[in-house]
Amino acid sequence: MQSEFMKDKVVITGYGLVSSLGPNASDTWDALLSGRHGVRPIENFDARGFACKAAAQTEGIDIAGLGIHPRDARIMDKHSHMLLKAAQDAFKEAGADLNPALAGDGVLSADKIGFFAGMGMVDYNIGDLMSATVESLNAEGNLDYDAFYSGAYQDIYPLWPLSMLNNISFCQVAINLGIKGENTVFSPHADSGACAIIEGFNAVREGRAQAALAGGVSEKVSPLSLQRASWFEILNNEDMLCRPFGSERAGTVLGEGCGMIVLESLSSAKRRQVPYFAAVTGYACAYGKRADFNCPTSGAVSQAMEQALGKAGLKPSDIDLVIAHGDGTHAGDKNEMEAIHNSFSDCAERLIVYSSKGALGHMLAGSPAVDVILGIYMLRDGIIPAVCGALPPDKDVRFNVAGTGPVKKDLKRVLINATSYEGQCASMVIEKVD
Amino acid sequence: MGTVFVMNKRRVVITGLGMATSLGLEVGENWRKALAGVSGIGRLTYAQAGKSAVQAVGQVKEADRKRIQDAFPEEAANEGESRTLFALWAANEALKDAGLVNTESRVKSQELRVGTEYLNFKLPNSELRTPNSKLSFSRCGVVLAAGLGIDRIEDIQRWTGRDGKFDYQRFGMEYREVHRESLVRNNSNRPSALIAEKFGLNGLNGAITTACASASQAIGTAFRAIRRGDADMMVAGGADSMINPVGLVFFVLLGAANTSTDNPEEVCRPFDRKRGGLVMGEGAGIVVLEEESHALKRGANIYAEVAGYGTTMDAYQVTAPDPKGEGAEKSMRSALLDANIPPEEIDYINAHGTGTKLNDAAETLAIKSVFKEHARKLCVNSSKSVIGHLIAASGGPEFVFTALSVNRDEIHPTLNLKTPDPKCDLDYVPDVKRARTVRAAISNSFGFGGQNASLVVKKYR
Repeated sequence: MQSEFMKDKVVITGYGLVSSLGPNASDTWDALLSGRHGVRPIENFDARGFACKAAAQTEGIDIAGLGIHPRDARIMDKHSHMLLKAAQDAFKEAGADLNPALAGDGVLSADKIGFFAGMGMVDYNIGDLMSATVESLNAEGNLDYDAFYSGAYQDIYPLWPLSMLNNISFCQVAINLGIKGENTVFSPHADSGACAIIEGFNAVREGRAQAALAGGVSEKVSPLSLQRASWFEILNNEDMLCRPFGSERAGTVLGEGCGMIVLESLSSAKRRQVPYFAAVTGYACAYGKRADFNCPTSGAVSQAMEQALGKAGLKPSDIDLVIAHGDGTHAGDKNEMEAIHNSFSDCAERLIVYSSKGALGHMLAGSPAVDVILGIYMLRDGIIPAVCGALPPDKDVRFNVAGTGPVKKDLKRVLINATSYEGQCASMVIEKVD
Repeated sequence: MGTVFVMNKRRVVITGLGMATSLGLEVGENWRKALAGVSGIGRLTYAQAGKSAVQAVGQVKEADRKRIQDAFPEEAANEGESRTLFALWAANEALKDAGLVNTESRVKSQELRVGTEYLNFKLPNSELRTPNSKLSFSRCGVVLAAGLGIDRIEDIQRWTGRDGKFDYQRFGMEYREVHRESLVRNNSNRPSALIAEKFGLNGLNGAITTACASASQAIGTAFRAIRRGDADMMVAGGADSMINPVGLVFFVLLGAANTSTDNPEEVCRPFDRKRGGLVMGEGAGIVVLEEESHALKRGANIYAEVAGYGTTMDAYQVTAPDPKGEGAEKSMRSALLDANIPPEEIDYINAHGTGTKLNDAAETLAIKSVFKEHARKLCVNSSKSVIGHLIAASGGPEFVFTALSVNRDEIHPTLNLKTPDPKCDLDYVPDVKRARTVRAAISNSFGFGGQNASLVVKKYR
């Protein structure tokens, strides 16, 4: 079944995860198995005016323990903390620490470590610009740009502009971990998190990086992120719960979180004598936007899945589990269902489909790496957690959506989907390595 | 390890160029003016910005804006951001130049939507049509740079009461009333999606957000996708504009802006001892990259070959570039290794050359470290002296100029280089264009935070 495409397997040797169900991977996994979700009323700002007032937000990250340089602390917001925490965990787990004493024989050179991330939009904190705005108001309460340019703007913290560039938190992590190799940042939706893993995978496979840190981080839930999601009409404004593939689904809910993985070749992992958890064996990207809703067409989702399978040298029937994008929007889930039905036509009935968004919310760029990490746990333990909110499932669903409780099943191959609200799609295949 | 293992030998060529800058909307016009030493930088005309400390900018001319709006009336009505329209214009120009869209008649917007009919090319053997995919161009995609997510403070003022407090509750209820051109209404992947939609490009689609390195990384990402076989044709580059209220104070706050009150045309002085910071430009630079056999089969005009791409991180400080330019040096080395070209074959470097004290000295040092004695023989210029710094998009038009230099053996001058700086002692092609054989060239882009990207372009043979 091994395709020509894979010369030396690219395996995952480390992972770090932060979510609303815990500041690390194992807490999150345990909470998922016990059927909990992380959706809570929003408390970090007054969200009462919004129709959707809840989100799955992270808490409990030990910021003091992240080793942030005091000079940088003021320009690091929650997305930076999540990214740094997950990246540090992934690095530690992989033993990829640049400290030669820790890295042992397989010392990794800083220049040969790649770094790729999908990152959400960076929204400004209204408070950071409030003073400059108020100072720019004339007697009628209107903006007077003469006042703004001739002095009021100086009320903005001089390094504030850096906090608006979403690559700055990325660079802060690179400094913290000493990464100097191949890199890029995609944004802002789930497909971007998958693109980052795909670039990391290829950097390793083509020998441009010995190891690559890859994944994605969500936006911080803020007035602006909630505004944008409201604008896109994707939120469940009724009871603020996300029900992937459920008949009562009414929209998605925002989630905060981050997933980062360390990718390296199987031979490198063996040489360094570090454990490896799964191999990435296939991927593909596609574009196609539905005219009537902010989601991709089912044809684009199918194309990404089928080309990813083709690249991995697999038939649809070889897949045991699909971790769907499944964001709980009516049209998005319907499209993805249709795509899965089409691409897995004769084996859809025996396929299990999972979505993490019912429990963790929609982490946008953060979701795909989180799903890869959850996939690693599922491959390891042979358990698929229940999909929060999936019961009763959509009457048209032909595949199995685990809704009642965790399902025990020996798994070998998992397909992961990620899509955007603008029509971008990406799919990845991960497999158990013997 | 050590050497780069390229999975297959697919070659990537440049077959289409598109631009929108302060010099104009046609590539030919941009090139002629840049060679002649005409500056696109002038006095700021942005509304209500008379008191802005930044007065020298490279703005797209009002008549040209109007032309873009007339060409894309539907998008001009629906899309709030000027950068989206710049992207659309430059992508359309690049696709036209590549012969991939009809040029005989102006096709109406409604017809443009039927991407597959509008595109007049056939893709022999390139179609990986899967059983359930109705998509036609799954091996063609778009990767674009995307810029900052804030441009104005009207949205804060709108919901700020007399007490100086922001009314979050009212904002939540009235969020639909955010300013039409406000970036909080727009996703960074909007321009790449719009172009894919319009031209029916159903493959890889993405937005790169690595500050000033974005467009070069977008082109590099697209190049890699074609070379490794994931795509046959990619539209890549960037569009950006920070000529807006937040953008005008952005680099002033960081101490990187040029706030000189001298003649605007003369204040952007890369590599000059009296250089005083960056001058913003706006617009787009977008190219069509194609797999060689794909281009040859349809008889496309090939400008040059993209031979290599490298990207590194300083991991130094987010507030300043590494003064030793190590990240920049490794970026160029990595691109040369990727291209499998000896440093001596590089005849020209389109520098990042921002006109800031730190960048230009560090970049010069990096070039000398990579090229040793050969550094004295090659030409270096800064397109930013001509069109300003297009921020996230800067690598786009600079890559177009690089491709043209390789294709035509001419190098545009660096403007305003009057006073030599002992720290910047290379041949920067001051004032007057240079005619010389350009076998291969490098285009550099270095982003705030310490992300570096280099692209190698060589003559197509």
